[in-house]
Amino acid sequence: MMAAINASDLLDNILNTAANTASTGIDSISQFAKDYAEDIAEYAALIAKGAAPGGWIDEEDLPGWTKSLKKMIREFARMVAALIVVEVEKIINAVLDVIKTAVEGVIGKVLPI
Amino acid sequence: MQFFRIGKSNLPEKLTGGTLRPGRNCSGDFAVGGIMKRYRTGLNSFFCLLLAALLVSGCTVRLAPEHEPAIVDGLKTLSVATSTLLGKMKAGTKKADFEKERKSFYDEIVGQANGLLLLIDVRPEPKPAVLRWLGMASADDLTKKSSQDANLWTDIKKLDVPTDDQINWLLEEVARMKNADKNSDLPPEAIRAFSKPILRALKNALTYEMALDR
Repeated sequence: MMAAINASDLLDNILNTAANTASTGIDSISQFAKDYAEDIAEYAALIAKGAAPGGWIDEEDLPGWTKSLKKMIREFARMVAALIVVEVEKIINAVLDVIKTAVEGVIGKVLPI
Repeated sequence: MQFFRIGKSNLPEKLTGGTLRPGRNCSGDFAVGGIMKRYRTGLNSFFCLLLAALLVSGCTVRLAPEHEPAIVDGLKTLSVATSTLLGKMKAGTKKADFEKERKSFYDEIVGQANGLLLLIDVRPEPKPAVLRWLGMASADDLTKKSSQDANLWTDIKKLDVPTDDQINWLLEEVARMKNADKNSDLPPEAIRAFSKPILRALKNALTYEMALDR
């Protein structure tokens, strides 16, 4: 005789797991974003100081520096998108793991997966 | 046996153990009721196991590539080589010393980064249809409005693995620094400015690769 799955408990577990995993992911992405934003601000300040009169950046080199700053900003968006994909995957797998555990409870066997 | 606790009234008789009658719940013309009663438990168990198998067969979803320790190790080695060069240059540089003191360090960084690109290139990348669909749906509307932003959104919508682009970015910035180092004396502020994107690219690649260790 198999045990029954309590749908309400299962749903609670799924929601808790998803919330916990998402919370950890959001923390790490926001820490990354904060660190990145500081780098952008410092880099922009260094370029601005270097490009000021008497600074170490020549006029002909300035486009190269602004291009580099733009690239840094652009990669910020890409990195956040890529990290979100990884976090979404973690949430999906954590939820599937809860379902797997519930199924194992019903059939009374540990699934070799 | 009951697999899920759901009220019987919401389900057709077939699922709640009621007697099946020919012409109503199945198209056969034989006496289904008796057979179903006899084999009901066995069939339910079979369907439960089938459901479980279906659930767990797709138990692990992959939207990003597998963690590859060799890539993380390569990135760590590249970080050490880069930090060593930047450390040597911290107080500023003289172009006269470039060949003797720093050229070999630049060459080492470029060699390591290119070797790492090879490793990243051969790692399989999952391309789930759902990601492709999501990417297209979110980016296409945005790219119509501004051609300047189109490249960024095109990159984001692809949701590609960013590690190789970070290494290519690092190579670009190292080449820019090498060129400036070779042709002019650099003050400490210039070294700090050059080091920002180089270290950022390294941090980005390391952050992503370490996030893949899940």
